[in-house]
Order: sequence, then structure tokens, then C-alpha cells
Amino acid sequence: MNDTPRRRRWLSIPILLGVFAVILLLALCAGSEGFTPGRLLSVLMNGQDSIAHTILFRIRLPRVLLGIAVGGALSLAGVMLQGVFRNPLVEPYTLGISGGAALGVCLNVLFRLSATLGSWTLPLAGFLGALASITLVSMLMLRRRFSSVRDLLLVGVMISFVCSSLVMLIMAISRDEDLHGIVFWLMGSLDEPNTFLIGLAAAVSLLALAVSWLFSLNLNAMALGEEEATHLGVRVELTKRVLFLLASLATGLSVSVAGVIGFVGLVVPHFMRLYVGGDHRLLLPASWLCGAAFLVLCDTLARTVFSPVELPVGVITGILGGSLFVYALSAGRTLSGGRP
Amino acid sequence: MTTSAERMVADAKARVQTLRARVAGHTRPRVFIQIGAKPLSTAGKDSFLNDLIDMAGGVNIADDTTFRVYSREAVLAANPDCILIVTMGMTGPDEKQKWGQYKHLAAAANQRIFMIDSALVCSPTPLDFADALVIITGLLHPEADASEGPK
Repeated sequence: MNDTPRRRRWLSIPILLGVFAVILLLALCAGSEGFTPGRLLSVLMNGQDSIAHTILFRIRLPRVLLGIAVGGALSLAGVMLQGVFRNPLVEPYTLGISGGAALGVCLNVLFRLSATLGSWTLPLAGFLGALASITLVSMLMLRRRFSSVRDLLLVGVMISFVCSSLVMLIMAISRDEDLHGIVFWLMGSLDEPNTFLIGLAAAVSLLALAVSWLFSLNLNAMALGEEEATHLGVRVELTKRVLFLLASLATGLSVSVAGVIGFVGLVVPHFMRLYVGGDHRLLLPASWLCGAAFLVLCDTLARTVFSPVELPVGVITGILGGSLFVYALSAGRTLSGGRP
Repeated sequence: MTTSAERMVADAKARVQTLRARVAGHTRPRVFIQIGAKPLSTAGKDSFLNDLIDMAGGVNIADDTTFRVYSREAVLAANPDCILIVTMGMTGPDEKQKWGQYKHLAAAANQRIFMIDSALVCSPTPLDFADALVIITGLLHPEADASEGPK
């Protein structure tokens, strides 16, 4: 690698930060009560006693923060898993994590826990469901019954299938009024007024960024192959376990707060590999930034396109993410070129 | 000869007429009716909940849409005078507390966030409809009730 592309690659962080800032501004301005940037400033400075201030600080800002946390966490989880397993198809959802979370939430709705005990039990049930499938997958992985990535992926996909069949079973026997809630939860939403959950998601997202960055050199070495990495002095098993658990926890928490938001964990890491290359020191923060910006942008579209009706954000991420990615691939770039 | 069923229907119709007359001419409060928490959903035009609000002398802020899912932000922007929470598969007190946090919302500032039992308003018979109308009219127009007393 000569110096010019390297410099250009490190320049991509300030560029991403710029894009991120523009999207944040757009997300805060756009909505059923649209603000111009000037109005935004005046509301920020001296609008304490207005509805506009409430909308900005109690609705839009929490949503944007949750979007940053969840988008960043899901993308990071994708980078970590793809790096550890050296397989482009591994992402939080192909390992059955979201399937488990979805099943947890459906069981909660079926047994009316959120109606009797409070809505806080909904994310808890999602998290326990995610934890259950993580435990299952990691037990299988740690026992080395499934030593190859292919086996692990197959197990993950099967767990997803079993979970989604059970979800459909629950939907078939659930009450009409519950059905609506389940369907929308499965499509994801960032409408979560609970500030504690938003804070928790943000903390876990930042923690995942910091911890995974400490392992970025290990990931770079592991890109050469596990044996080569071991010869270079990398503790491969430790790296695998830590990053797998970290990715699982970040996904489990994201899914339980915001529902199933697909494609971010799969598409953003690939996109960033195309643009910044395979160096994890750069790839990890770049993916976090890009995932956060992408989800905030999708959520802004979801809540403004058909305002006052809100579209499920998972639908937008799927349509936008999938088509952008196919376009990027067909525009002449290949995945293998950017592979670590 | 009128059957007992016809008498009951005629009686319910009369009650509806009385209530409508009672609130005629009063200022019509703007109302948001919440029928689901996740996602936040409401009853728009072409729903009988919309008819109930209209007959009770209120204006449904969501009467321009037929979709159920509604944005929380749009509710704040519309700033309704009154919020009715139909406790259907969700915890009413939780939702009431969430709306109560928005101090600049007229409904929260004037403490006009009410819960309604879903059994009453969600599968109406002609008699239930009249009962529901009595309750909603009372909530939307406490001044009319106070002067004439509920039927």
C-alpha cells in the first residue's frame, strides 16, 4: 500500500463526520413540525416554553440518539462477526440473535406481561430471548462441535427459522389487538420515550466501539488466517470469544429496544470495506459512524415521508440499504478488492 | 306495537340526541384518541371512535387519515386539548404518565388525559354506544355536565 491511498483512507473519517453532521441537522429539522436551521437555533437558544422545544428535546433528540446508538452497534456487530469468522454473510441476524429476541417479545405479548407488569418488560423479554439464542450458539461454538464457520452459520440460520416459525405460531393464535403490536415490533421502530433505555443503548454502543477497537490489530492479523494470526502472537480464541459476546450483547440490546432492524449489520460493514479498506483500526470507527448516520437518515425518512403516519424503520433500511448495496456492487467495485 | 328491542334502540337514539343537543354551541375541544402504545396508534376518519368524538362535541386531530399508526411528534405539533387513552392491550397508566411528561402539551397542562375502558368503546352495541357517548361527552365537556348533570 503506498502513501496516497492510505492518506485518502484516513481522510474518510472527517468526511464521514461531515456527512454525519449534515444528517443529524436534517433529522432534527425535519418532521411534522418542520424547522429551518435558523428556527432550530432560535428554539435551542430561547424556546424553553414552547411545544417546538418539547418536540425537539423530548421526541426528536431521543430518537436521533437511539438511532445513533442502535445503528452504530448493529454495524459494529457486523464488522466484528465478519472479521472474526472471515465470512461476508455473518451478521447479527444470520446468527439467530434477532430471531431469539423476536420470540421473546412475542411470548411477552402472548402472556400479556407488558399489559399487566408494564411496558418495561418488553425490551427485557427481547433481551432474554436474544441471550437464549446467543447462549445456544456460543455453547455450540465453544464446545467446538461446530468448528467451521459454515456449520455455525447453518446453526444460526436454523435457529432463526425455528424462532420465526414459533413467532408465526404465536401470531396465528394471538388476539387481534396484540397482532398489530407484534407485526410492528418485527419491523422495528425508534419511537422509545424511555430515557433510561436510550442511555443504556448509547452506553453499550460506545463501549462496544471502544472495546472492539482494542482488538482491531488482532482482527487485522486474523484476516490472514487463524493459523497465521496465531504465529504472529495473536490470542485467536480469546479474540473470537470476546468479540462474539460483545457483538451478541450489542445486538441483543439494540433489538430489544428498537425491534428488528435488518440490513444495517450486513450492508454497512461491506460498504465501509469498499470505501475505507480492510484495516480494522479504520473500519470499526468508520462503520460505527456510517451505521449511525444511515439509521438516523432512514428513521427521518420513515417519519416524514407519509407524515403523520410513521413507517416502520426496518422497512426503509431494507429497501434503501439493499438497493444501494446492489448498486455499489454493480458500479464496478468488488467485495474481494476491499476484503481484509 | 313496538317490541322491546325497538324501544331500546329508540331510547338509545333519544339519549344520543339529548347529548348532542347538550354540547351544541360549546367550543369543540381538539382530541387525540390513543388505541395502541407500540406503535402509537389512533382511530382516524371512517371509524366509530371518530364518530363518538364528533358526536360528543370534539374534533379528532387524526380525522384526516385512515391509517392507525400515528406519529408522537404529530400529536405534540397538533397540541390537542384532550387525550383519550383506550386501554386496549396496553397499560393505560404508563401511557398517561408518558403524555404527562410533556408539560407544554395543553392536555397535560390542563390535566385532561383520560383512560377509557376498551370493553365499552371497542365493540359497541347501540346501547354501549350511547353509554360510551355519555362518558366521552362528560370528559370532553365537563362544563356541560356540571350544569345539567349526566343522564
